[in-house]
Amino acid sequence: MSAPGGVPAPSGIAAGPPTAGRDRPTRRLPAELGAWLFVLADLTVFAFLFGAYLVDRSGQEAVFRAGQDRLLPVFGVVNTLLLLTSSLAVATAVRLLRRGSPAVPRLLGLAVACGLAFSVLKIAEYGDKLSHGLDPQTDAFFMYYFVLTGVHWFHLACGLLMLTGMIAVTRRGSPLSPHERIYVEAGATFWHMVDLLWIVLFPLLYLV
Amino acid sequence: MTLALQILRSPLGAAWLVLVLATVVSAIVGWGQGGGAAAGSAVLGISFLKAYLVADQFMEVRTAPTWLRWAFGGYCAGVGGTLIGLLLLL
Repeated sequence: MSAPGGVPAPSGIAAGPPTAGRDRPTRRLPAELGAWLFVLADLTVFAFLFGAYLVDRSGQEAVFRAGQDRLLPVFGVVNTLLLLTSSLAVATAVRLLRRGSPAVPRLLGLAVACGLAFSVLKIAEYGDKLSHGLDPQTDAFFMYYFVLTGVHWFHLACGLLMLTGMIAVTRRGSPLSPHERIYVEAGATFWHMVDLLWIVLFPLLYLV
Repeated sequence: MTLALQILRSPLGAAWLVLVLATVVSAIVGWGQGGGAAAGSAVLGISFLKAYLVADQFMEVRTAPTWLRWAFGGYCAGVGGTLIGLLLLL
């Protein structure tokens, strides 16, 4: 089956785990161990920041509530949808890469576009806050808001650079070397971590 | 069938749809809830379920070695549970 434009049907998207026997899935570590240790360490650092936010919030409920009221949750919702869509594109690209599909660079390009749109919205949001005299020194809430979203955005910017490198590697059309394959899978894992962190950060800052 | 439609019909597309719906639901529950601990806990709970779904489907933790599945399961349950506990108790 072939999709329009010469794109092979991505039946590999639906592929389950590789199987060793009839019903026994073979466990496989995507990318390499170091990438996963980095991701787990980064997630742990953020977990402590999330906890610190809630502990500080308990002592200054009114300050945090007033700060939260000055945020627009619609920014957070749209940014969440952008990152979820980018993650879908990257996850699909990794599955199709294993089948040698030419659609991979386009999907990675879509993920980059979503990441850039996230950045534009974040800059607009920062600009709005700063123009109203709200900065990291305003109070504890805005200190957490700018630090947490700023550190997250730094991760996103790193992820965008990795995705750009992944596009360059995959658009050549030739089969990837083992090192290139690990790079692409590690980049995808990092990008999903950026998405995962935002999934927790958004409700914590905007909704809870 | 376009590539987009084929993606949406795949398990990854189904996971994405669930994540989008959960985002909308948690925004509705959390938006203007006035600091209620119960609603806040529900929103955080949904977030960590979403986080696990991202790991399970998009990061391929579902087919990864057991230690990694336990690590992500433990992270989402442990950190999510701790944050909900802090929200309810503090």
